[in-house]
Amino acid sequence: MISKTKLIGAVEIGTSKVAILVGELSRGRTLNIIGLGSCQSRGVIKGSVVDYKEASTCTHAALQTAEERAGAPIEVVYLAQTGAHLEGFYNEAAVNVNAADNCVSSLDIDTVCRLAKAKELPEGRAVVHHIRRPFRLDGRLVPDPEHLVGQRLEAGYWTVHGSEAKIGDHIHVITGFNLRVEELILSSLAAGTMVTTAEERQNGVLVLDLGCGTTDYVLYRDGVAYQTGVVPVGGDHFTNDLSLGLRLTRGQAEKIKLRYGSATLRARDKHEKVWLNGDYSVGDRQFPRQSIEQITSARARELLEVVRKKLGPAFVPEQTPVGVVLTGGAAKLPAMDEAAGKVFGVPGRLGEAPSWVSDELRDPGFSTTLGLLYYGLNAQAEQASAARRSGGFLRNIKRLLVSA
Amino acid sequence: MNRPASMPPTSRSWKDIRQGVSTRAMSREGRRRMMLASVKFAVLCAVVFGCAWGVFEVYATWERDPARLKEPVKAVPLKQVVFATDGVLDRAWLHQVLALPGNASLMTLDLGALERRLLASGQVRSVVLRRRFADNTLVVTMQERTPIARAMVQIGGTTPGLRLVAGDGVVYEGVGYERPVLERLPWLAGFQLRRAATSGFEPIAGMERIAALLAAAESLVPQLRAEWQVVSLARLATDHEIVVRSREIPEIIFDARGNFPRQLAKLDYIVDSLRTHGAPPTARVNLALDSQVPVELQETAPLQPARSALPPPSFQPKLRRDF
Repeated sequence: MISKTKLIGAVEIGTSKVAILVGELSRGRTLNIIGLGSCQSRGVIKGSVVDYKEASTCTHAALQTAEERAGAPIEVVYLAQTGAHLEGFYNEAAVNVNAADNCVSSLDIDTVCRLAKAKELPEGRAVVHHIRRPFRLDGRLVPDPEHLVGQRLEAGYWTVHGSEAKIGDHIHVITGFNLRVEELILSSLAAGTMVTTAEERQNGVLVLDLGCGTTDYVLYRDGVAYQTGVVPVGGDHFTNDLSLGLRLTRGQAEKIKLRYGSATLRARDKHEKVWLNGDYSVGDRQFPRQSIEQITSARARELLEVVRKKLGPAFVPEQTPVGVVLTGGAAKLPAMDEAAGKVFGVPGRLGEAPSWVSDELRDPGFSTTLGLLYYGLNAQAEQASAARRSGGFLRNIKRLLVSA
Repeated sequence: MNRPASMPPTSRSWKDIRQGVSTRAMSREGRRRMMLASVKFAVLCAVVFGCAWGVFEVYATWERDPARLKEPVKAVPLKQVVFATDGVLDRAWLHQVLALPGNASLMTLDLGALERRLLASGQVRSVVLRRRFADNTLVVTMQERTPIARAMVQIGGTTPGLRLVAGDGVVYEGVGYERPVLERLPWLAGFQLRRAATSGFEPIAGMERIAALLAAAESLVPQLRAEWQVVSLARLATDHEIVVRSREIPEIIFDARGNFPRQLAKLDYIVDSLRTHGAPPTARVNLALDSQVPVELQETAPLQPARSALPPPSFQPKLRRDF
């Protein structure tokens, strides 16, 4: 039974920051964002927890802030999951329709779905998501084959799985605050649902969530996530390259990246120089702007090419007419959309949050947490409607008798 | 639904990962929250357990010694009795009937018994007793019967005693009425009293019609009603007739099923006419014959022819009465 209001905490423990939004779900239908907590992340590298204590301390501080701002305790958590340990594979199954009249029954659907999901994973791996692609009935795509007539029913799942230990670390950071993780959602899926519309996902679109330590991607086709993945390269690598290339500290390199970095070469004048601090302080020095852009653009192109390579034959420009949508903190690097367009051969653009999102949360860095809340809203609405559909004492009795 | 035997097992999901962590792995805030949740749970358990234990204790005591449960409230002494009635009974009568002990407490009072004691007097039509804990008071609210006739009743070989009869036929020993009130009541005759199963007498049947007649007479012809001495029920059951004896007319017969105001109007007219014409005393007026009203005069000397010389019956025109 769904309570009238439920406080959901959307938590993203990223490499650079921990972002938490508190959403109030009313009757499983409406969502109000009532709290926000954010702090610099510690103990997390490339999306994986490497120092439990440090990660816990900063996450719990952010949770506390979010609860204080919400004025009420969080009840359950929807946790974003990223990291290079996440992998995916496609598995499909087919069954011959059982009925003599070739009418597809729920039993056929259930059987084919179970078969398609039943691929054993290596030891220490756990399934995060089973994302079903549209059914095929005698070769034609159908969203729901029940009661349709056909002979051969096919179903395929894109299964996302990850290291049990690393997923467990993520979960334990939350449970260390005496909270329960209700859903674990892939970061790219959360962000993807937020920055694209259902129509765009139906037509075909690639979403890149450029984080600090990782880049998550999801390729949508026919309205569903066709392929997902994580590349352990993110905005941090731009900083790292600048630090090495220009012999700067990480802090200085970060500052230079934010001020002068670009994903494409824009500086025409080779001799144009920029100051490190620009305040005439001791140690302040000049760098050629073109050098900075060369480093950042090379890294951006490399990153995008890695993603394209990982996508492999799944990415077909003709089947991705909407193009590439960029989100995440590193997507704010100037001309990133232009670079993505060049690499993927489709239009690129920066993802924008829907109009109902307040200005404070319109930053691309919040698209994942917003997506988690959106996911939570949909999940609760589905649960509510499922409860309504399956409700009824007689129906439950009937189900019991049938299963007996 | 039976799962096919060939169906492979499903893979391990993230939901199979144990979410619990040891207390040492929790942050200070996490431990505080867990402690708070534990305290809340413990308090809830304690409340639930306490309630269950309390209920069990009460039940056990009730089973073992029910008087013990009443003891605490027994200690509340009765301070006063508030009495309200719509009749003539007074506090002295109430205290005499209730006969409450001096150390009576509010909770030990058996209201049912007290109510029965009060209702034993036929004069009491209804009574409500309630405890008012705010000021430890017993509130007695009473409605009394109004007598419409009186009767002399002799029980066994004892001296005949006066009893009053109410409109619903209940016969009772009236208390607190003033003498003039009682003297105005007509005597009731032509009835038989039957002892009730418990105490007193059974109500007299047909008294509703008597009450209706007397009430109509009281309001329409009070000067005639004041003359009525006896009302008899002797022919009520058999002939549906009520016989009244007044000071002037020994026998006035009313139709018990008829319209009393109409009959009373006729009587008034007849009495008025007879007086006007100086007729001899009337022996009987029968109003039970619908349109005919036989008036029987007592045997006296024949009418004097000089009667016409008498002044006219009334110099003022008599007002027509419509009933």
